[in-house]
Amino acid sequence: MTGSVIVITSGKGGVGKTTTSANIGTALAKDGNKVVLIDTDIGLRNLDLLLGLENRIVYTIVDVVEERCKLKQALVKDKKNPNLCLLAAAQTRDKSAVTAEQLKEICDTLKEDFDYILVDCPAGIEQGFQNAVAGANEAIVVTTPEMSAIRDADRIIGLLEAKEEVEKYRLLVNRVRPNLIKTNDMMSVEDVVEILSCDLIGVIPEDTGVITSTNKGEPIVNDENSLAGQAYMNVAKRIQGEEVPFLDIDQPRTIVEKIKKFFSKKVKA
Amino acid sequence: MNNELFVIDLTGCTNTGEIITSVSAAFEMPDSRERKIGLKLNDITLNQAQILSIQSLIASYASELDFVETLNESTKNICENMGIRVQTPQYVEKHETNYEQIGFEIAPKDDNSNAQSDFGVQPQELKGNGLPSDIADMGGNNISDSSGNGFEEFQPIEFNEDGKQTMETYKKAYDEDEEDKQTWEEVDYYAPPTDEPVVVDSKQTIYVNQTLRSGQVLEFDGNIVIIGDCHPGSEIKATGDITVWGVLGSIAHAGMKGNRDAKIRALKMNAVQLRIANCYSRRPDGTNIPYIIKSSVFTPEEARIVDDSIVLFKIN
Repeated sequence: MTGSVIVITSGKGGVGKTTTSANIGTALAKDGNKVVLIDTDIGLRNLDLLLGLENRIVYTIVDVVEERCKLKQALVKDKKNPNLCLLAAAQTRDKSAVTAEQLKEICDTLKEDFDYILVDCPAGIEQGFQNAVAGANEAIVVTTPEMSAIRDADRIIGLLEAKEEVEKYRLLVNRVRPNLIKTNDMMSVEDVVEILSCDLIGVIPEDTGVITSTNKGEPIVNDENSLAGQAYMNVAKRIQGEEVPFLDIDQPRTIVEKIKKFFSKKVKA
Repeated sequence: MNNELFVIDLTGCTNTGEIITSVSAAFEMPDSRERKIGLKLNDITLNQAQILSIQSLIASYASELDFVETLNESTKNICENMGIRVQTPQYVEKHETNYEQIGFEIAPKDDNSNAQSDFGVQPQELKGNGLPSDIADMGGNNISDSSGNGFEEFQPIEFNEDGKQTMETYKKAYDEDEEDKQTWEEVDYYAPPTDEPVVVDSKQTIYVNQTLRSGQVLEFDGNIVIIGDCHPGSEIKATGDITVWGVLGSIAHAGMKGNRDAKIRALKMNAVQLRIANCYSRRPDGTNIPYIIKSSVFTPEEARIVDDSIVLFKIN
């Protein structure tokens, strides 16, 4: 079995790389794939928290690299889904504790046993980014519809293009707010795609449920009523090669909105 | 001079060096000076020179050696010749040598008084009523994999075929349910007495007067006392005991080099993981809160190994 190594990166911090990693990983595992999530944000790890596995970590990626344990021992199995594993980052070290070659070796070893290896990349383009990208053959560039995030994403795409191993990269637009797009206060997804001239893999609407799910340590894809959760499920489907139409993120959510939309349709007709 | 007695327990010491360390450690306590001192020796054999040096050590702390408790005939004779009062331990038959590790306690005025030692742990041998024998059952089945002999060979987390991890959560020796809270006052939940000889800890202790933040590691060959909180993401590693005067919300590893008698104490126990020697345990998932919840209500707890599992005990 040779799995694909997908790096989830953005350049800018705070756009939702870790949230995306946790959710796509969980979604892929839900579809029956064997998935391993690698947190490469050494020193500022958070992926364990989002998955609610904080209390189970004994060995980290640094312990694997420094040969204090076997790779299998460091993999923390998810509470709910046995197909999902986490290779946590060390909190007490920094990015220089691991080299790009070592991470590539880990990815190559994991490829044999897993369908998907998702690498959660730290913000920035320094050592941490170089490490995360080393073993990857696919990339998902996360951005938000803001100029600063787009500019950083552009820089990242430039760096990814320079890497021969990265066969394809796709764009994920996160935290989209349809209300603001309608009033022209936010760039539309089409604009973002046009600026970056990059294939789109998904559009995730802004969802307050993400915050609560992060605090609970449970990815939002487990919540079937959540729009963001559905959007992440669709992204996972597209990663597996399925053709899934983009979700209508302008769905009315409150009862008032539903009534408004119902009547506006009638009027138009 | 204070007329109250201060008893120093030397029963675990094997050589003069350990005795001297234990005695001077006892005098680190502010209220131990200028007192009448009692020495618990049980079956340790001491010669005249050794007793003289202990006597002069005690005198250097402005205290006075009042009596010696010993079972050893020769030590008894020497002490009597030197004019030191000799007592025979009364409770030895009852509980053998189950002294608290702290190594000293204030002598009780009578058997029912609640004498408290430094950390507020009630010395076990002072209890009139018997200890509940079912404590091991109450806290049982919460062990990590502890099959390894030495710490080096120990490999904690292995995945079973069915995907279950072997590391289990730590449990409390007492229940937090409402009904049990009422009975808590009547029953003392302490570890059952063991036959193992208790070694008086003569290791060095480091005091850290700061909050330990995420990413910080504190490692020490000896005991660690932290005056402050330990935030999630930090690690405390000690070859001896760990005491946190605050909220323990991080990973704590006591008895790193394999000392299974090591203990972890905290004013509020919210540790992500507790590790003692080669035993590992994690926080129950239900209480998996990412941040330390500060509260004015503290329930000081002590973690130790009971039958290969890490169990929390309430400290009064």
